[in-house]
Amino acid sequence: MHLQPTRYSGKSLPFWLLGLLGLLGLALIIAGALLSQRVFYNPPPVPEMSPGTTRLEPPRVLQDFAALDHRGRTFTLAQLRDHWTFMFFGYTHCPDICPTTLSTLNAVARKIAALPNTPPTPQYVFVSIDPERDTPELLAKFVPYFNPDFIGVTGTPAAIDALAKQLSVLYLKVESERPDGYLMDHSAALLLIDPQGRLHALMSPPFDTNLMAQDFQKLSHYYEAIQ
Amino acid sequence: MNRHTRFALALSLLGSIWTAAVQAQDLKVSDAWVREAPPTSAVNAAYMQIANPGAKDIAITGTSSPQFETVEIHRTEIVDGMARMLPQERLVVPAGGSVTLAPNGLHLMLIQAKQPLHAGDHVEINLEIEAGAALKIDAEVRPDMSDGIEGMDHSQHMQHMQH
Ligand SMILES: [Cu+2]
Repeated sequence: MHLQPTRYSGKSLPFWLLGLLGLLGLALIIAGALLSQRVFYNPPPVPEMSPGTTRLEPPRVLQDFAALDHRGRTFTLAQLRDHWTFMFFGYTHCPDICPTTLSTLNAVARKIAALPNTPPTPQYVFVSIDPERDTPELLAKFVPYFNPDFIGVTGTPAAIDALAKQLSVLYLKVESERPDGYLMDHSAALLLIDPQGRLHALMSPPFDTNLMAQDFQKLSHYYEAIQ
Repeated sequence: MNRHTRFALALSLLGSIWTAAVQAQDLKVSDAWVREAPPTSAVNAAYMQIANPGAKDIAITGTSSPQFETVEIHRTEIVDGMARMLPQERLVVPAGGSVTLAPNGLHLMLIQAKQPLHAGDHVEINLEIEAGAALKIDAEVRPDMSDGIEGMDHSQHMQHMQH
């Protein structure tokens, strides 16, 4: 008796067909998994925020605006995309709350960088609500002083107004006979803008930098999980 | 004016001087500092703790510094999310109590520095007491450490005071 070369008997299927069936099965499994995810989709739980932080549901879409950064370059909605942004509105002729908030943001930046599972590095923007006095040159001497990565933003009063209005930021000039000119009343909240350039959350004083860093981490992780 | 009136007048005058002296001595200022700010800043702020261990309330009615054009007592307040600064005519340090001047609250607003200030510099501030005495304070310029660098020394250093 001599060996016959291996042949596909009538009972076994040819390899190519087996392979095809295998692929088909795999495709079915994947399709099923995708479908069941659609049907039985369990979104990750909405992260719980500290009392000072308010999430906007849904986030607020912003219209484009045309401002200037402290280097004199245009600063528009495009500069708010592809990264998170912490934004604060203030003015340089402000001796107390504005420098304090910039120092707070500096502490937040350091704490975010030191978190485990480091969230994406956000940018930090100080928008002047006193564009009359706050030129890009003046902002360049003020904002990076607190952290060289911080960005100062100013522009025409109309441009600042357009941006502030969209973010529900209020400000008011208080005229007086002061030697330093005038004071400004302004919203004290910090705004968090998501990588799609939408207003995502508000943080209100008194600021706790540990909680702010934690809230940011939770928000950015949740944001990535639901994309 | 008879002798008695004159005597009474002299006594009351003496009394007011004496009261003033006691009051100025009674205020204990500690941990006075000025935020290190960009040298170009038109305005700055000084913070401190003022304690009054005495038995009478003491009102601070004037502030000045040879290094600034003007010094004002201000209070930052946040109402309905809006921050504003309110100039204060006087600052009362209650008997047996203290007031804290700290970021986002009471502060001395330092307006128009005559020379740029840097960390480590000292600012002389004069507090005028209602009774007529004055208190000279030495405040060191330093970076704002409120929640900044961990492990900073929070111990309070008593200031030397003159009256
Ligand atoms: Cu002030």
